[in-house]
Amino acid sequence: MRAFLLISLALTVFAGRILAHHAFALEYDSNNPLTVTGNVSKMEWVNPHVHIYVDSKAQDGAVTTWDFELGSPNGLMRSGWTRISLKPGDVVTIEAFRAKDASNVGAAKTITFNGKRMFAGNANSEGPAK
Amino acid sequence: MLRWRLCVLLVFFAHSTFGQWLNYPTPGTPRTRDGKPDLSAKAPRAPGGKPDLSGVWRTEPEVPGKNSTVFDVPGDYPSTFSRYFSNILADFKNPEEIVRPEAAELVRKYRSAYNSPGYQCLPLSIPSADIFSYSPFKIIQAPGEIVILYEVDNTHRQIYLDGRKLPKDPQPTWLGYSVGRWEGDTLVVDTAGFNDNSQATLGGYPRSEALHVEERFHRRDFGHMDLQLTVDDPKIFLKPITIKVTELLEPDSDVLEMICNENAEKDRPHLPISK
Repeated sequence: MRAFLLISLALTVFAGRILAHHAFALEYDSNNPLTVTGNVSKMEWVNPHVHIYVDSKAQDGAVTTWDFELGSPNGLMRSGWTRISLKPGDVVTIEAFRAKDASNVGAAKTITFNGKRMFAGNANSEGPAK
Repeated sequence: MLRWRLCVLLVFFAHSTFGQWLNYPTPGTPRTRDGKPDLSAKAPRAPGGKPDLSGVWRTEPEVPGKNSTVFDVPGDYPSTFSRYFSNILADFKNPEEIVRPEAAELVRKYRSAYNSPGYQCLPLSIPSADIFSYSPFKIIQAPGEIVILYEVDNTHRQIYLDGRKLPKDPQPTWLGYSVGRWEGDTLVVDTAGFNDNSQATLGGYPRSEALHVEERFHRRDFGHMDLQLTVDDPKIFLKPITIKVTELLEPDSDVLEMICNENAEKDRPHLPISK
């Protein structure tokens, strides 16, 4: 049900997202923000952090698979996410911070889907179901 | 100005939880005319007349922007943290003066934020889990015993109110041994018998097996509970540390399963601690 993606303005800030079992600064580079658009290949609904895999196609046709880390399943669930909020093939744009080891891994900040910019992990804000 | 407006919005939505098992109307909850939980109603009483602390509680978060932590994400408001979650000495101007000189090296190691048991999905323990605003805990009050289910790490505690004393030579555990008693309408819980593997607070200070924690729970009304915590660890700190937080009832909600280690291996290759 895509029509439920009515997200408040509050979702455009990345308030309170935490990496529940480790510090952001430990793994991710705040000086290396990136925006990736592509197709969701998988949503991994697991503790301690949900992961979304996105296949992004470059102009030359080369496909890069990105692994984006979100908040905890419980935190996401409280903000309206479920494991089927995004399905394989969905086109998303993800704003994230890249891992310090420069791998194709990032901490997701916002996820834009169907024209709505959503929050990626805070327990006290809203996600897709609002 | 826009930042503050957004903060207000976030606070407004803070309790509009949604999800499976998270919006089931809890029987016995006093309600206003419009059917919403009446959080300022009188605190309920248990059979026998003592306050009933049962419910799902979450620590009131600090005012956004006030408590920058190592967990912050750029552009983020750390509003889901309570003031003391990552620093139990947040009230002290010169916290190093409270630390025993012989514990300074251990403190430096833990304060580096790269050496927390939490990164390995080991339990937060208390008082951390009491003041971890990100996840709630559930109090189940029975005659002679109170059980607390912490969502974080799926941990639980049993607090005995049957008159038993703390063990004299306890085998150290992650959450220790707890006994409670009533002082008027305040539940006083003493806990000791901790191991020295966890911390006084996440990303914060270490603890020793000499740690003793006192929790004083006072349910102000239906939706609010004062919690005063005293951390007395004579091997780490020069004097006991007392903090006060407010626990907010999460009405019509529940704690959820949280098996942290389910997929932690995936994150470890990116963490310096694993190298």
